[in-house]
Amino acid sequence: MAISLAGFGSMANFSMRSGFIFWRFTLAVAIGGALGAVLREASGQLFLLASREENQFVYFTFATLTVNILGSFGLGLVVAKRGLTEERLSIKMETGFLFLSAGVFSALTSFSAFTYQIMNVWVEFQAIYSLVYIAGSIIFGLLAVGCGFWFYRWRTGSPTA
Amino acid sequence: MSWILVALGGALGSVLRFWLTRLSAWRCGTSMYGTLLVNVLGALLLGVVMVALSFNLDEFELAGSARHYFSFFEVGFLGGFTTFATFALELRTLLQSRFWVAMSYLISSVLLTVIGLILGYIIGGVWFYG
Repeated sequence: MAISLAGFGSMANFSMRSGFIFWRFTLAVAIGGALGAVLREASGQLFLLASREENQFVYFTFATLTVNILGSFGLGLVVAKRGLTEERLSIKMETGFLFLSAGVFSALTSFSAFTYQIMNVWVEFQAIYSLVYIAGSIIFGLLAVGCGFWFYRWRTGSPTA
Repeated sequence: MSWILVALGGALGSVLRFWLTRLSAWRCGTSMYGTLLVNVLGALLLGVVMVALSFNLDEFELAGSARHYFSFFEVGFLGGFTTFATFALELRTLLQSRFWVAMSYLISSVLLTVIGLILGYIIGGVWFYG
């Protein structure tokens, strides 16, 4: 099914049914999510260290943009590796895939921080800049996912969607 | 301490998001509705929690235990609960096949999350200050 998120849709077939696999996947996502959140906080702290006192608003805006783009790139990469197929892989490979995709890279990126930055830019500067921020985030996010696909194809020479 | 709270919140938020998007993919055939729901709920909660923590604002710095609540709820839980990467991936997949569905997904995601955040501020304001 084309619309179901690449690689994710098939999981519903068997993850909701049998308890053991379900909790195994859940544990993988929990560990990955913890790691992703810590990485996001660490990159925020790095941007804070690099920023001067008077323009910390701007630096947090760019920190959010950076983690969103990096996470989109990573997700594109792992989804390209798994492929856009609906077929089931081995449980071990699915666990690894979910650890990286639903865990690390999804928790690394944050839509609530993105929304908060839209409001922040709107209040601190002008409405037009928040529109620029929205457009920039989404265009670069889409490009990053495409770059992830492309990078995987380039490294392995295998065709993906 | 705050790093442990961020990790715990991130794990909890990620698991909840994972379950909701799986449920959406299982029942509706697409994880799109799950991601949209998660992002809008996350923005709403962000607004409420920010107002709740604004009591402890001290010259733009969070004082005392409010820092820990901020680490757990805002950085960890809500940051892990909402996701931009899945949104971008779904958007890219949709753009290739159904352009107008993708456009409405994009516009509704951005608009609803901003409305959710403002609504969260209003709910928090009425709840804690009103």
